[in-house]
Amino acid sequence: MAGNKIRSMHILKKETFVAYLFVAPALILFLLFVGYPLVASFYLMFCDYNLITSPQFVGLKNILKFLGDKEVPLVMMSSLKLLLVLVPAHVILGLALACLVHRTGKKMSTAYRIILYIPTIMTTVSVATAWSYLYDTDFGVINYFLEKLGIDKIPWLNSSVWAFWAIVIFSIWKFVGTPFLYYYIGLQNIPTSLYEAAEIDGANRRQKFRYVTLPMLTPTIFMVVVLSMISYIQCFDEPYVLTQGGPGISTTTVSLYIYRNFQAQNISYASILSVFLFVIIMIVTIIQFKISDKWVNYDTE
Amino acid sequence: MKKRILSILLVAALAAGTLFGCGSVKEETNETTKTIEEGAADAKTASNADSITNTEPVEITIAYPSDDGAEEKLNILIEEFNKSYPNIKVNYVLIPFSSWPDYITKLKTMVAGGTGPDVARLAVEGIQSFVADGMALPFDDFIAENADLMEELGVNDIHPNINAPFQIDGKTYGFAWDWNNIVMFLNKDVFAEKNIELPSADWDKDKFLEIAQALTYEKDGEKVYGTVAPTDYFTVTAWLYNNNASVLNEDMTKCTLNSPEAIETIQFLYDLVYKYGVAPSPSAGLDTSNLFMNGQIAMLGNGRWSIASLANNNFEDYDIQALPALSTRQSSFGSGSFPVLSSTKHPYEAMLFSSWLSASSFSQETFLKTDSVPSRISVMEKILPTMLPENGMLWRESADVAKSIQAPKQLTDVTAVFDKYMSLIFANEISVEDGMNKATEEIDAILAE
Repeated sequence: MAGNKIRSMHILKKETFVAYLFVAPALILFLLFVGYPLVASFYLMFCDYNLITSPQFVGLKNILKFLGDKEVPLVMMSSLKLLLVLVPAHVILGLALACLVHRTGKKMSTAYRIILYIPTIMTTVSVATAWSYLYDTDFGVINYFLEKLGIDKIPWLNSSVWAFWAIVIFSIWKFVGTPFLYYYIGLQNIPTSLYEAAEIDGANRRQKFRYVTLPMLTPTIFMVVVLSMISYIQCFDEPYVLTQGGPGISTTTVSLYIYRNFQAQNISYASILSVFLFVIIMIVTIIQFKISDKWVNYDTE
Repeated sequence: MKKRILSILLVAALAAGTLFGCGSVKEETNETTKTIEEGAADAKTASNADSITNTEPVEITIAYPSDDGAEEKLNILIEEFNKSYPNIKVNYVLIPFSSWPDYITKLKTMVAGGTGPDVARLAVEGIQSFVADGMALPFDDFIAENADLMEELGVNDIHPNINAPFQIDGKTYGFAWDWNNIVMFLNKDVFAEKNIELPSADWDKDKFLEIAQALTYEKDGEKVYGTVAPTDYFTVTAWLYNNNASVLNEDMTKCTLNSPEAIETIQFLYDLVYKYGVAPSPSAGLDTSNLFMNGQIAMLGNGRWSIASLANNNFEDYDIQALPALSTRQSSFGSGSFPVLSSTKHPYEAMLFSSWLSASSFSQETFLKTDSVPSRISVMEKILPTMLPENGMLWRESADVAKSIQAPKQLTDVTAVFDKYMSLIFANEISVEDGMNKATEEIDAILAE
């Protein structure tokens, strides 16, 4: 018996070793391309760096500049506005679409799934370029049809207000397929026995949704919320292609602002912004996970 | 036992795969490069032309923005170069080009990583920043010691005015190869449709407006606009110069966008869209080049670089004219060159190749036929009359009087502020005066740093 115990510990050690071997490639890549640059950014915050000569330590100079920069709060507001609109849109719209498609027959649901998911796999930049032509004020197709309906042409990309909505509409069209797919799979995984039990208890459709579907979907909803938040805080492609962050900086997100600073070789300033963004995303995600205990229900059968 | 061996082999294969994957990431960034050989020459400073034939083979690398056909053209050029200088092997690195700031960042990253090229294509937009960072090698010793070679290559034929941006603080950092200024491209079909004569070189603001208004109409449900209101730094500079205004003062230490003349110019461009309705709203999705070819824009301010695309689309019904005078007539220009990086291990060969590229008639006549304007006077006079547009010699004439665009070392930040306020003005979210005043404030702060 002691022999068995020793042998099983031996096997456990070997299995652990093999497990580490499997993780090693991903870990190495992570350390090289994520870990090291992150640590470097923390250091570069306190330096002046022009890419050619080695970084020169300048203490808090750049951080003070960051705190005094009037554009940073504006850029944060733009990112926040996008977040506040796009995350609920994806969470709710994705769920609505999934429920609707879930009710259709097999053939039709396949067709709908393809239609809804295909935009997500297209390259954002090329599709956004095409949409920028659609959005053009004087020659764009969207305004053409609006004019036919008697509506004045809308300066989609040429107005701080409308540019925001132009990005929102495009973004929803492009990316709603992902939450939709998660929800759809989540719906498939709800055991029918629960619905049957609810029916026996006399539940109507709305009650079934509220008391069976929603609670069982909470892990999926949680995942969609967390992933959408992380993704949209870093929103870059849409403003970059559609509006170049304009007019002015009204649609400049934090990522785009970081990119502009990197372009102008303001490396240390870009590092400060990146670290700032990283910290925010981390705090938001931690808060989400802490709260999740209260509402996410991981009961499986 | 078998399973374990199998799983270890799999892991090893995975690890190897990911490491090779790292390697291929480089390829995905469109680099086709070989590293510089440190073998042959040690400190090879400017040496006599005779010594070329006695030296061992040398390898140098040139960085060039990747473009349609850039690779092909580079191969042709390098082949020709090797006919005269067979012992200098030239490799090239193509850098995906989206804007000069991105291109320069990429060059700097390469230098920082030790894989910097010896020669790099660079335009006036980047040269000040390059020199300020100590990245560019002065050519002065090389020129002084190789006067005959300079004559032979045609360096002395380069228009001195066009060459001037590459002479900074009394030192020369390369020779201008090509240049552009903004002229008004005219769609002859649209003019003919409304029976309007092409404008003459002395046309002014009023005549321009008159023509623009006559050429803004609707035909079969399709809108035609007389012109386009420019909002980019390069094109707007041309209009500013024509009104005795400019973005910065002469020594580029202060911003002058808040001068009455500058405000008046921007107001005029704004009015083209919102008061006279002769230009479409500027927007990211406005495809001016196709609209021009399609006959939906009659007059478009553009540079000679655009004739390649016109030729590719077999569009021939166009001509050019100088921009209309506002309060004066002062054309602008931007030129490009091939500076040598100070990190080069083969300065003599690099400067030789750079000079050959910039000045040789082969290089100018093959590459620049349908592209920017060649910098050599004799080449301009040879090529321009033989190609579209008919009025092409306008470029040769303007070379004598054109003024360089203002590209200080902080150009990227300055352009960002400029673009920001231009977009706000054209989005009707700030008045021209307020926009220009605010822009001046911010640009002054940048220049003062």
